[in-house]
Amino acid sequence: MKVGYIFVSPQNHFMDLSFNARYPFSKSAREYAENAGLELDFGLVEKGKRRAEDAVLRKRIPSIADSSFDLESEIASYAIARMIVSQIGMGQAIESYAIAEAKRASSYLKSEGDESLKALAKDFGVDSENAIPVLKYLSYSPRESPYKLVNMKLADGKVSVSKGQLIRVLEEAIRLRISGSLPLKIERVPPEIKKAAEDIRSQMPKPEVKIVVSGDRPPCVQHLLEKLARGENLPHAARWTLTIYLLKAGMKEGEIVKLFSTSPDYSESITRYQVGYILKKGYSMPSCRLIDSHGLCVYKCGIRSPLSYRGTKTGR
Amino acid sequence: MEEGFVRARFSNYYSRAYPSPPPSASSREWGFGGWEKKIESRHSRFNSGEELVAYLRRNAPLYVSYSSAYYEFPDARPMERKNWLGADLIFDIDADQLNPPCIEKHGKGWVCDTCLGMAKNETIKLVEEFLLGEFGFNRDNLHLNFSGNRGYHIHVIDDEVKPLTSPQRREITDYITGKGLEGKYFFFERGGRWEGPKKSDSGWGGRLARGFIEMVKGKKLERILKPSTSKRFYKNESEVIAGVERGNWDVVGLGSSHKSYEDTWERLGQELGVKLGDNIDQNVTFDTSKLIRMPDSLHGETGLLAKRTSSLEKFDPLKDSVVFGKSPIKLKIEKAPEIRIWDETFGPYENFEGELPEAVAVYLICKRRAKLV
Ligand code: SF4
Ligand SMILES: [Zn+2]
Repeated sequence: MKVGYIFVSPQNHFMDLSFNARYPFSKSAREYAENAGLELDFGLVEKGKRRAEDAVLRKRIPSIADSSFDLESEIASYAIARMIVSQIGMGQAIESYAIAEAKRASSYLKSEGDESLKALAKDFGVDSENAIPVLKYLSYSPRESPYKLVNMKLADGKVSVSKGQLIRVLEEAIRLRISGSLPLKIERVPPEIKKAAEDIRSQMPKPEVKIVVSGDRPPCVQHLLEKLARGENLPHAARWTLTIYLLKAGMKEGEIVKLFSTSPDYSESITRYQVGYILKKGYSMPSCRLIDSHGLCVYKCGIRSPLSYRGTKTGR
Repeated sequence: MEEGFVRARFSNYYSRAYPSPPPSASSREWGFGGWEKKIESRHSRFNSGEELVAYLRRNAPLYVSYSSAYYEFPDARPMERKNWLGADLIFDIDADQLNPPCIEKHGKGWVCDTCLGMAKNETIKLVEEFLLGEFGFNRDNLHLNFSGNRGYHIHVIDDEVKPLTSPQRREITDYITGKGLEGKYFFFERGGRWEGPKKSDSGWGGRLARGFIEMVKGKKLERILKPSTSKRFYKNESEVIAGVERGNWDVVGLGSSHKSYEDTWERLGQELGVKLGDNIDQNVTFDTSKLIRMPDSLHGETGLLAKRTSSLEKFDPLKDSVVFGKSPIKLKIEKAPEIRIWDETFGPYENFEGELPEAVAVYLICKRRAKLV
């Protein structure tokens, strides 16, 4: 059946096509797809489904081999994966999908020449490879301390960035663009798409650990636990803070690793490594001031460390 | 009796003045305060600036505030139903937050030329160095006004700024206050040497280098370092300064062991950053549901105008913001520190009874230091 795309656009240079296949969320790819059209055949649905599955269940979309001649279907698989992910109907699936797409794109950016990087930056309204307008920077920069504005070079309304930093910022911009554009509202969803979505949904892990929502945890910690329970992605500083707190509060390493399994880009081995690392190094609990500087303090309890939080009830 | 007196003056002022409302006055939430509370009622809306001015004339509120935010339904409740459309970016500088030395003399909540001068300098630093220099905002989009009491407000009214989210605004205040600054992002090992920021670097790097040099010169390092370490630097002053100027922090010996100095940079950041009012959380800047005093409205704690100004250097708040006159008013004052109004100093008073010019009387009554006789 027809959904409005046919890939007949012979004017397109192969270079552009390859760019569009790598960065299917770019404006040029969208234009390309709009001019083209696509027949939804079994092969394409399968390809789109694999893409969605890789992203949602395995957290990683393999990159296309450079020699791949089927670049059109690569772009189409992105469009189809988006429909499928939208049909799964879970915020967590969308988050995971957007993260995996963004990571896929950033791995291309790392290995490619400056031309593509420049072109993609432009796609997000960034005209120079080494400086980002500050308000753009604020909307795309990851909430991690090395990217905190105060630690960057800012002059004349522009933040200076290295190539690596630009790629990381673009990765975040891509993630936001994709997650912000989903779920798609589709009037009549083709049955193949529905079925693919249903298939993936049934394979998604149920959150294993019931998160104890108890009243005597510090509000910041409580807030992070609730976010985890909702399957939201926690920034690095948040995981760090939460892990140290839970270790200090006597939770076992394995339990903490499990706790993170609801997060959209969960990888058991990486999480295990990170938690183990924090345990081994014996990091001390970050102060409330530091937590606040990461934007994670939600209450202002008037104490110095979350460890001295004694609940809202006084006495005892 | 005092309340009635002040209200009558305010009403008289509003009937002869035409305070110009902020842009998009009808998309903002308005709040008003009285004798007891700075905000007694909120969630009001006006269809036009004229409607607002008519309200001020009719009611002579002691405080007039509006939301930095723009809403589709400014009078809807609860907040979520207002439908937020964006917000100006607001900064608040308050003399009380600057630890002025004069506070010992006149106490918190009072002002003198020293602390108002400090607030002015802090505002100039914020505007020139940070907002114009580093953030690159357009001067035309910055609107400054005296707060009407102890400091200044800066409104950035700019379409690009409107959609900023609260965490994004927080990043801006953190930058301006130096919060979250970490030394490790400013030092690098290169060719076996520790390189750090140079005097000429842009942003915080250069500020740290310049600030450090100033502290060595002014013998103020103890604020950020141990006394023994500070002494060492004072002894080698010229060498230290020459090194830091070029970004060679090995000379200083701080670079190579910078890990143990993490707090130092954070503290230096706090020293050199702007001290924003409402220091606990810089609420007005990032909490976009907050209300802010309307520029060119009267302040109920002083009777001074929250006057707009475009040339801060020349602005004299205790002269330019005074709107009341000199007709004598009979007062009784138990105790009050001295205050300058126009070019004249009044007080300090203790068990005073007598006549004072209207503007001074309004000021002291609003500050709850005087009663009518
Ligand atoms: S004050 Fe401390 S314990 Fe309380 S929410 Fe903030 S960071 Fe957490
Ligand atoms: Zn003073």
